[in-house]
Amino acid sequence: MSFKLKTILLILSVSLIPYILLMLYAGNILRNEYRKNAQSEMQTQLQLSVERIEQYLQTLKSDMEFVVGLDTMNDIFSLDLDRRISHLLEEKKSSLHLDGDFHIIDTAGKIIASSNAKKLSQIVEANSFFTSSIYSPFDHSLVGTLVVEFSLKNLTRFFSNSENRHYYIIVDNQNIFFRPQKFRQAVHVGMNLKSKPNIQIILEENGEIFSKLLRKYENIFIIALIVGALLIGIISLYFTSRLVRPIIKLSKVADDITQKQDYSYQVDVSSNDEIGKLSKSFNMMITGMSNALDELKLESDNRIKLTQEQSKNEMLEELSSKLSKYLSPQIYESIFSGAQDVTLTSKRKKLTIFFSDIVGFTDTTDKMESEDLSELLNDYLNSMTLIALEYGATVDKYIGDAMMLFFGDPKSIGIQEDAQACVNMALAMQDYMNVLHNHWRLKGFTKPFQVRMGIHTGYCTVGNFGSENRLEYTIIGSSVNLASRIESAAKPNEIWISEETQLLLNNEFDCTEQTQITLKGFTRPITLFSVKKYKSYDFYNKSIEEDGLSLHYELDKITPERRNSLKLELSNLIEKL
Amino acid sequence: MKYFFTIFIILLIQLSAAKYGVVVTSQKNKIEIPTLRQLKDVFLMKRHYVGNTKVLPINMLLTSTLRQKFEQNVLKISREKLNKYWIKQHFQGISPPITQASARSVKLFIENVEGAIGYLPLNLVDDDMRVLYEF
Repeated sequence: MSFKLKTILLILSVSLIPYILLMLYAGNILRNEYRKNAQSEMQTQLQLSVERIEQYLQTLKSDMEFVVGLDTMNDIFSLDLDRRISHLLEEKKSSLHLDGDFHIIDTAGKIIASSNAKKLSQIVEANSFFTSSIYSPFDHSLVGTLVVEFSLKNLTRFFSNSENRHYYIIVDNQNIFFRPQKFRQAVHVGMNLKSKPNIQIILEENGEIFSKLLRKYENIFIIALIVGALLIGIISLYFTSRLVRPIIKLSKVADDITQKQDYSYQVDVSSNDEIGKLSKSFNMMITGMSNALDELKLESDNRIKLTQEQSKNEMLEELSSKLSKYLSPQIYESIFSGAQDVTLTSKRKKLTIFFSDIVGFTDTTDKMESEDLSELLNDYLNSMTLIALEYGATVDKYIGDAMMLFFGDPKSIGIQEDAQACVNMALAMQDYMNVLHNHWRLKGFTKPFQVRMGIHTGYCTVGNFGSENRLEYTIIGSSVNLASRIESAAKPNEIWISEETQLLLNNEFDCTEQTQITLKGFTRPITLFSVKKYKSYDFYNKSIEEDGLSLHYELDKITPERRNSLKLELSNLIEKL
Repeated sequence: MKYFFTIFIILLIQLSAAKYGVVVTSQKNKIEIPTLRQLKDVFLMKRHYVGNTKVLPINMLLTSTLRQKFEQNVLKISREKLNKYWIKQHFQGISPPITQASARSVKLFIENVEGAIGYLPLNLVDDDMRVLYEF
């Protein structure tokens, strides 16, 4: 059921039903009032008539009383021979316009005087209408009675009958006199005469006339009821429509918004009542929602863009991360920071170049399974690279088991410092080899790798070399070659450096001159030195590598908690030795 | 003329010597009115009892000739004086005697009412009547 219909029904039930009930009640009251008024009016009319009748009867009685007191009544003794009494009675009858007769009867009931001569000497039956006793004025004995033979017709002169209203008389509750007609529907009122209680005067009205009149009023009433109900219905419909219209508009707009997802719809606000306020609030809400959705959309678009960018970035990052593995971290960083442009450019710088390779790698690889070899090589290269990066080396390339690194580009901490860092790195690498040896031994590789390293400091050309489509950030120059030759010349497990590098070490390292080599392009022979370790290195670190024993310690890395247990273990070893 | 005068005189004498009526009562009444004076008193309502009997005088109508004679011969009062008398009596609460319209009704009255006294013409007197006075 729609809201409009519910509202109409509500208003109708609140207004129409009480109205109808009220009208019916009022109609009933009016009907009863009308009936009561009609009856009251009848009663009043009857009252008047009865009063007149009573007056008449009272007059009659009084006259009779008067008559019996007259001296003329003495003629009773003379049996009214002179008919004076009779004449008197005749006069009285005439004056009263009596329909009936007065009689003077003796004590035996015989008429001795009468207003009707024909009745003389007749015997009067008992129960005359009125009687007045006649007493002897001499001895006060009852000598006779004045009676009136009274016709009820006398009373009819007080009846004002009409076609639809008439009087009649009921005597002794059963005998009806002078009823002109019997109405099919009658309304009547009655009254008993006080002077003659057995006589009831009835005023009767034709009930049909009454009913007709009543029906006429009822019809008017019904018409008024219908008109009123219609008016109420029309007014209800009108006001309901007006009331519901804004709600319907609101609903429609809400539907439109829902269906078309168009938040530009607004509700017409045409009132200042609660519905108007609701509409305003709705509009504000829609505007707010629209703005919020726009913002949300914008936000969403931005987020999508951001996400896409992030994804792209992540992808790029991942890609670059993957690609970075093919680049030295410093080169990678310098490219991504923008310090290094990806173009065919180069510059000349004094760098410290490092080469290393595994002694007898080829022979070793022939004796090993490829999986084992890969594992070993990756361990080695991974570890060495970590050390290289730790010391700030730029990893130029891996050439199988060989590594080419350099210090001084793209970042330099100083030529001297670069050289020192390179040497420190080499020493660290050398030390870590012991660790790797142990590690491999545990895995079953009994023949450890031996590595040789060569370092030279000199001017190189550093930059992007190759083509526009394929670049390599590397160094070229004679210094590079020299470094490589130094490495080749180095003994296994030794680090050989050039004189240039040695001079830059500032006696910080234990360098031992080894040999001199002559290279094409160099005017003089190159003196080579081996670097064993940092002069103060032995105090805190040592490595012992022998058959059956591989020991490496770095005292500064042993925690105090572990020292005691290590002492115990070593004590056990010493005991065994 | 003389003849007629003579007859007139004779009639007059006869008339003067004639009786107009009698005062009567019923035989049932034991009333005796010995004197005229007493009779007059009865009819003037001065006397209501005769002996132990209450008497009730009955008059005839004023227009009655017999009454006139009665007033002349028994009451011996003129009508004028009688009227005055009755007016005076009226203020004393005394009414004149009741009247009857005819002699026959007087007679019937006297017959029916104890103590009634009235006057009648001679021809109506019968054995049921007792004459109390002639006039």
